[in-house]
Amino acid sequence: MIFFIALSFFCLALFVYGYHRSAVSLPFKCLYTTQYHYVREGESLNVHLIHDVRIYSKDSAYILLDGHLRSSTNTYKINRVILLGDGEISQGSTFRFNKTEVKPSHDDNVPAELVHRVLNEYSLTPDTMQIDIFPLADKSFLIGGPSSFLSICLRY
Amino acid sequence: MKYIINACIGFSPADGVLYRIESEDSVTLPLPAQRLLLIILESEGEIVTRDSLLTGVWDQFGLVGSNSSLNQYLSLLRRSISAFGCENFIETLPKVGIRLCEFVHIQKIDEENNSDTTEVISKRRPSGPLSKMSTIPKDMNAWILIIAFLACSFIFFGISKGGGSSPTPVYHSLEDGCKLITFADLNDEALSRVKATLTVFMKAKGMQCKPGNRFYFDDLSSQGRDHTKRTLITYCEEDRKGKSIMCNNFYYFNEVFSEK
Repeated sequence: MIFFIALSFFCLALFVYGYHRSAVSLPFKCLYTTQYHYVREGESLNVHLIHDVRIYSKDSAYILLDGHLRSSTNTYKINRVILLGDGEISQGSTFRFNKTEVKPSHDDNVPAELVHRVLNEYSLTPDTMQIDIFPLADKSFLIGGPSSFLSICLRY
Repeated sequence: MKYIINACIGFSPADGVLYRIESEDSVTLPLPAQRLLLIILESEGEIVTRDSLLTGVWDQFGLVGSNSSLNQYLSLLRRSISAFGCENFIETLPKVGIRLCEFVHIQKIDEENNSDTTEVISKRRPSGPLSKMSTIPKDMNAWILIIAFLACSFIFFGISKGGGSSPTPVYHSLEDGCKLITFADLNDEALSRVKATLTVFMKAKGMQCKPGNRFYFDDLSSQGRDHTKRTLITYCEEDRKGKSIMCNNFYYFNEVFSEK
């Protein structure tokens, strides 16, 4: 009897360990630089962005975006924070948040429709962002959106 | 009536003599030791508590026993039986009591009936609070443990690796020493295509494949909501321990390397 009880605890411990190993512990702070290259219907758009993702809980998170955006005709500065909240966590690694507010800084002059090109890669609906965070090795994490993997970030 | 222990030591309760069968060496045990031995021989491998020993050896005879006298007679029994060639006869279970050691073989011979009837009364039976742990043979236990461990490991890796959560990196070494990492197990044709794409990418970006660098490549996207193709190429530099210390991501939407 003791043997089976011990075995049950062992299995339970493995289960918990396995779950936590695949789950992302909070708070999660990660930094990554990505160059987005868009080509569509002859129009090209290049976006160089530094992302600072900070997730404190399912109800408190934000993403800082800093960089520039170059279209075929203009270059824009982007510097804004996207506040996130009212979220949920699935399978320990998929975070789904509502965009509670977008706050551009004073020098952010990007037209909204161009910003949406980038944010669409993270958007499940116009008001909802989804980020998958998969541990790769040590402090490296693979960041995914609803459609594809987007970047690799380094946790700090 | 007499008892034979491991076919080499005899005990006659009638006169309290313990003897070696081969050499006929013998010793007459003191009365408390005789009663103690009799209780142990009749225990059939069950645990005998200290209280029941004190009762059976002293209390029932109007005497007052104590833990120290019990220890003293147990020690005497151990010494006597060990001197006749049975080293491990009784085992002590701390704070519980004693019991016959495993594999001690006891025969009880009824001489009064003048018959050869021999009754094997003890090869320790699994019983009592401690020995109730398992009635499965030891080797069977080991197999159950191994199978259970494999099952748990399977569940564990199913959860942590697959489980629908984490993509698994697949490492490929490139000729020039850097690593290529994909998130799918590619066939030769697909891998060649990825390598060719990476070569063009490195050339366009002025990058080199050398030891200490790694490239992540992925172009698997869920069916594009707008039927577009997405490709992620990440270039990372490693430290001496092989950990990524700096990464640059390049995300292509629709067409790779469209920039001038």
